[in-house]
Amino acid sequence: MIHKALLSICYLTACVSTALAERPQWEQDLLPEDDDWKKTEQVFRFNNGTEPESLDIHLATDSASIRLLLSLYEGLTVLDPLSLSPQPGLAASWEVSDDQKTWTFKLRAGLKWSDGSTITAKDFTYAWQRALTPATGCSYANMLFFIENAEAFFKGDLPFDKVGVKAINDQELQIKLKGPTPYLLDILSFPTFFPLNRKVDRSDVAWSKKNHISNGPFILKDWKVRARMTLIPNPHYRDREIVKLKEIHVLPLDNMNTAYQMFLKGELDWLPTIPQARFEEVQRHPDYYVAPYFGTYFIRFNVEQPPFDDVKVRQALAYGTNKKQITGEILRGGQFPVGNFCPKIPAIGYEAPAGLPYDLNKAKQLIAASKYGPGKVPMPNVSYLYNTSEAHKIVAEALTQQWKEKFGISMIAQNMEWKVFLKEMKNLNFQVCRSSWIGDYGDPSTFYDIFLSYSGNNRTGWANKEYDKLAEKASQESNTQKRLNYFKRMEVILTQEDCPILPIYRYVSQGMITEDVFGLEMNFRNLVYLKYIWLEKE
Amino acid sequence: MLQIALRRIALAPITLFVLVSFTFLMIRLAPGGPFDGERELPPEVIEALNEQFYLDKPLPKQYLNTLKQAITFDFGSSMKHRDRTVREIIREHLPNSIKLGALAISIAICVGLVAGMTAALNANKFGDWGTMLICVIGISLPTFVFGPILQLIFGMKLKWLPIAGFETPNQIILPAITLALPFSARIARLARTGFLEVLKEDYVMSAKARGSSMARILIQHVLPAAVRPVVSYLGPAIAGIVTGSLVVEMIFLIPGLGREFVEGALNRDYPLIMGTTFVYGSFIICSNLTADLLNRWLDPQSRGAEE
Repeated sequence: MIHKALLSICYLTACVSTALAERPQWEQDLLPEDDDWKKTEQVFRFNNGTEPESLDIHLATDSASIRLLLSLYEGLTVLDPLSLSPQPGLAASWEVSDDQKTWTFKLRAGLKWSDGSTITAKDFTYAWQRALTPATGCSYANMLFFIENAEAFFKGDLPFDKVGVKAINDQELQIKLKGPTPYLLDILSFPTFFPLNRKVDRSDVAWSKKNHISNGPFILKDWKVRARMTLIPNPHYRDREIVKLKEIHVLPLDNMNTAYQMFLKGELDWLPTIPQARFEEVQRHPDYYVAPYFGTYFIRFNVEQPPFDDVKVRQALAYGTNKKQITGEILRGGQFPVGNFCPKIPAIGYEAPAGLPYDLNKAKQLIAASKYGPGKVPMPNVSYLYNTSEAHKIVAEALTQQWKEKFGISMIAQNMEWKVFLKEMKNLNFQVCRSSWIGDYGDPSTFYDIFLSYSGNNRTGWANKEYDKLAEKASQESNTQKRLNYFKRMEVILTQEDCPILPIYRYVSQGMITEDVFGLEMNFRNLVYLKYIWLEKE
Repeated sequence: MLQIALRRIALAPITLFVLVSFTFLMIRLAPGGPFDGERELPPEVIEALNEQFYLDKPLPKQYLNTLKQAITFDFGSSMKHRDRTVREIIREHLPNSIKLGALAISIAICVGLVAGMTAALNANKFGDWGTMLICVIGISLPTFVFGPILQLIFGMKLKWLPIAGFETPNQIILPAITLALPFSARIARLARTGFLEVLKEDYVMSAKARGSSMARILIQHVLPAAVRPVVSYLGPAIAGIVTGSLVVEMIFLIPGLGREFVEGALNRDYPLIMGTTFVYGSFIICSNLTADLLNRWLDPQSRGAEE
């Protein structure tokens, strides 16, 4: 059975509920209608695609780790898997000041860690201090910078007691922000913001494997590296009744073909990724599903290198690249062509302007008007950089052919090993290269921030003062509509006016799931909460 | 013989030292660093990590530290999986690689010798051609094709064996066969040549003339002499099996060291590269040494010369 993402636009209403009877409507929609599921053995097996980098909430950056952390832990808020709107998690309720800069979260009563000890507000301050200490090596440390003085503490300029996060008492946590942060409730559901049990000795690097005390619906029972991970329900979870699975087996297979065979043989219930080489066959299988995903495949121009130093050339290529051909005829994996960078975010009602349409005449005019037009500077040869992979190679070949045919640009596609590719990209040692970005939280800033002039992720040599200023304004704006308009303007600058990047297509998540699995809701951020899943054989 | 053995054993640590130094140099020459990623890390975090992993020190100091790590066999924690130490990774994964490799090499030797002998005894007849044809296929068929074929036949169609995993004894069979295939084919060809040569020797002929049974001739006279080319091949074969297990590990979900070795290199995980290279290096040196000594021992001429 295919569970399609139902993306409704419903914004947050902080409802408080602990008892099953008072369960909020969004959660009731995720429950089985009767008790028939109890007749089926509740053992769920899925392929996680690779060995998770780490189960330390501050070290994990890959999706394999994050997928597990979302079910091993819980933060102040959780996301409704259907609408992706934030809902109360560990926090029972919250209050916000008029300027939207001070938030006070009240924890639910009787919250416990998996070892039975009490969860207090101090577990949050402890964890956030750890995240903001550079020696921890938290890759996402800068995600916390919207908190007052967090950046200053991180840089070593202020002590932690000046940072805007405080445990008022065991039950109440106060967060002071630099500016109104409308995505606060969303981002609090991300693993970097989870609490940590203060009793665990984290000087032993292996703590997350040996002594994993967590607070989510599941706990880590066993971890055989590169073989299997076993999760079982956490007896101390605040909502133990909702957890229906008895055991979860997580396999780290990166050979998709083997995973696919195991699925067909009935040894796996869910494959979040499919073997691309057998796409045609998989697509015909009744258990196949495809859902939009929160990521964009695009190319970066180095705006300091000819011919991409001329904005008209970049615009021309944005107009003149036939993306439909790439997704529809070459990739054929359900991806859809896009002109904009940031995907739709229904939970806050954001839809980015569509970007430049495919218009070959306009493209040719722009090339002619550029300084590399006929009779002017001869069009230099171009090298297109990509990291070694079959999928990137075919896109590179398609672009090479299109640009040669339409604009006479002779381009050589050059592949490199991942780390070498990253180095060349970082040092701006390229003319044009493939790129991609997956959003981390439900706000346009997760996409647009990477192209700020001072961002380490920019990697195009492009800077635009208006763009930077708009980002600054958006971070201080409390009116949602105004804020979203700033983002729309940023999108226009990025993909229509200055074009340091050229969006190609939006990612999709494709997988297979057996018809016995229920409660696994595919949403566009690919966030899966294992606690809602149950198995029911017909 | 003993003198040679001692000399070779004494050389082993020097070889290892050269290997460690060379690896140290190579991984630092490779472009891209361990903390480069799609998402740029905050500079303060990179600084802290560099300090933690000794990368903020000048190269000679880093080198001395690496030597110290090699001597104490404590390479610290992995840079990619920072909550795991290299020693722990090796301790968990090396036994699996050895288990798989040992079974594969045993299969390769048994199958190879029997096939080689069959071919030699039926020289230039159908049995010979048939066996050699299978050998050519065995050598040229890549593991990433052969493995999935076995999975399909024995896992999917016949349902005799599990498709992947390494938790129950029957899960080791398919990967071991996959890994053994090219080596058994090569051994078969070497054994065939060896047997053919020895079968023509005068002492075999005279044994035949004396009326000894064929089985006795084979075991007593032919086998020890005929396996010599096979034994000299065993050193590189063991090295090949241990280091070449990567593809098999990926296809059959085996938590072996091959994966860690290759991923360490791809991720520029310096401590993991050093640790796995050190282990593999020691392993290859040992197996070459053993094969060499065994070969000398099997060769009556060189044995006699030494004595």
